[in-house]
Amino acid sequence: MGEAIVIALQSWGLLALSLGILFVALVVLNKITGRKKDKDNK
Amino acid sequence: MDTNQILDIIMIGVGFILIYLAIKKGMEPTLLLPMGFGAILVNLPGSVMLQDNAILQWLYNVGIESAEAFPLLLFIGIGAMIDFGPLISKPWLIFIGAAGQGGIFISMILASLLGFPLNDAASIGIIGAADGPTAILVSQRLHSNYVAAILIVAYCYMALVPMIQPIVLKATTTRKERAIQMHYKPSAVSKTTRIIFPIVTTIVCGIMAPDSAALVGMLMFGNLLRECGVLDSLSRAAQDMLSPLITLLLGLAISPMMKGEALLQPATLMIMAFGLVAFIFDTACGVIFLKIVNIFLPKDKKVNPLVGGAGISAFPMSSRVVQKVGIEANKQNHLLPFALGANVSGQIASVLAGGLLLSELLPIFG
Repeated sequence: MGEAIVIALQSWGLLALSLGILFVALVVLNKITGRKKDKDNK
Repeated sequence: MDTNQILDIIMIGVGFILIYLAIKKGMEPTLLLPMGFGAILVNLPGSVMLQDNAILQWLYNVGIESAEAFPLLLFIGIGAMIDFGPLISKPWLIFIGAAGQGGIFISMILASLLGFPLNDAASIGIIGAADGPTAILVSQRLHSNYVAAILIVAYCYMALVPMIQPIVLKATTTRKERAIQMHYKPSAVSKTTRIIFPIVTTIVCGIMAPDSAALVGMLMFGNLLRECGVLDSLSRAAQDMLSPLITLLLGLAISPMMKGEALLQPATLMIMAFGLVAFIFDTACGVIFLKIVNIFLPKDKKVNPLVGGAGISAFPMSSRVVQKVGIEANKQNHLLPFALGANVSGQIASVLAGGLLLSELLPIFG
C-alpha cells in the first residue's frame, strides 16, 4: 500500500511539474509572438 | 446449465442494456452500441467469435493487443478536433488540468488499500482520466485483470458527467463562490504559437514520461494537422472519417473481453464504485485547487472555483456543465471560455497522467 501512495504522489507531482514546464513554454511563446506582432505593426 | 452458461446469458442481457443506453438514452452511442452488440455475439452458445481467426478476436489482436493501434489512431482524430486556443491565451489554466486528475491517484491509492495489486489499482484509477483511449492503453499495457470492466465503467461514467459533476460542484462550493464573476477578454492567439504548441507539448511530455509519448504524440499530431493550415483535407479526414471509423472498430475490438466469466466478477462492482470515486475526486480536487488559489488573490481578481471542475478530459461536456452551474448562481456569469481552457488542459493532463503511471509501473508489470 505504501508503494501505491509513493507512486501515486510521485506521478501527480511529476504531472504538475510537466504542466508547469508547459506553462513556462506557453508564456514565453506568447511573449515572443506578441513582440513579433508589435514589430510587424510598426 | 453450468455457471459459465448462466454468466453468458447475463452478459447477453448486459449487451441489451448497453444498446438500450446507447439508443434510448444517447449515452456514448459510438462506443456502447458496438460494445453491446459485441457482448451479445461473443456470449451466444457455441460462439466461435473468440477463435483466433474470428473477426472480433482479429480486431482485438490487431487493434488493441499488438500495438494499441486503435486508441492511438483515435487520438489523431481527437487532436484534430481540439482547439487549444482558450488554453494558449490563458496559460495559467493549465494547472487546473493537473489538479483535475486527483481522482486518478486517490482512486488508485484506495484500490490498493482494498487489496488490488498495483497494476489493477492503477488501471482502476485511470478511469478518473475520463478518457477511453487512455484507459484502454494503460489497463492493457499493465496487463490488468479487469480491462473490460474498466472500459465499460469508464465510458458509462463519461456519459454521466452531466449528472455527476453538478452535484459535486454544488457540494464543494458556496453559492457566493459559484456567483463569482469572471470577465473574459478575448485575445488573439498567433498561428505560430498554435503550430509550435503541439510540438513543444510532445517534446516536454515525451521527456518527462517516455511512455506517454505515443499517446501525447498522436494527440498533438492530430492537432498539428488542424493548426498548420496546409493540410485541411487531412485534418477533415482525421475528424470526420478516421475518428468515427476507429471508434466503430474499437467498440467491436473490445468485445472479446466481454465474456461472462471475465466480466461478471465481484470485483466489477468494486470497480464501479472506484470509478465514481475517481470522477468525484477529479471534480473536487480541481475546485479545491482554485479555492486555495483564491486565498492568495485580491478580492476583485478572484477566480470562480467552478472552473476547476472542468479540469477533466470529458471535453466539451464538462465545460458546458460548469457554464450551466455558473449561470444558475449568477445570470451575468460567462465561465465557458475559462472552462474550455481548463477542459483542454485536462485532456493533456489525463494522457500525461496515464503515461506517468506507465513509466512507473511498466518496469514491474510490463
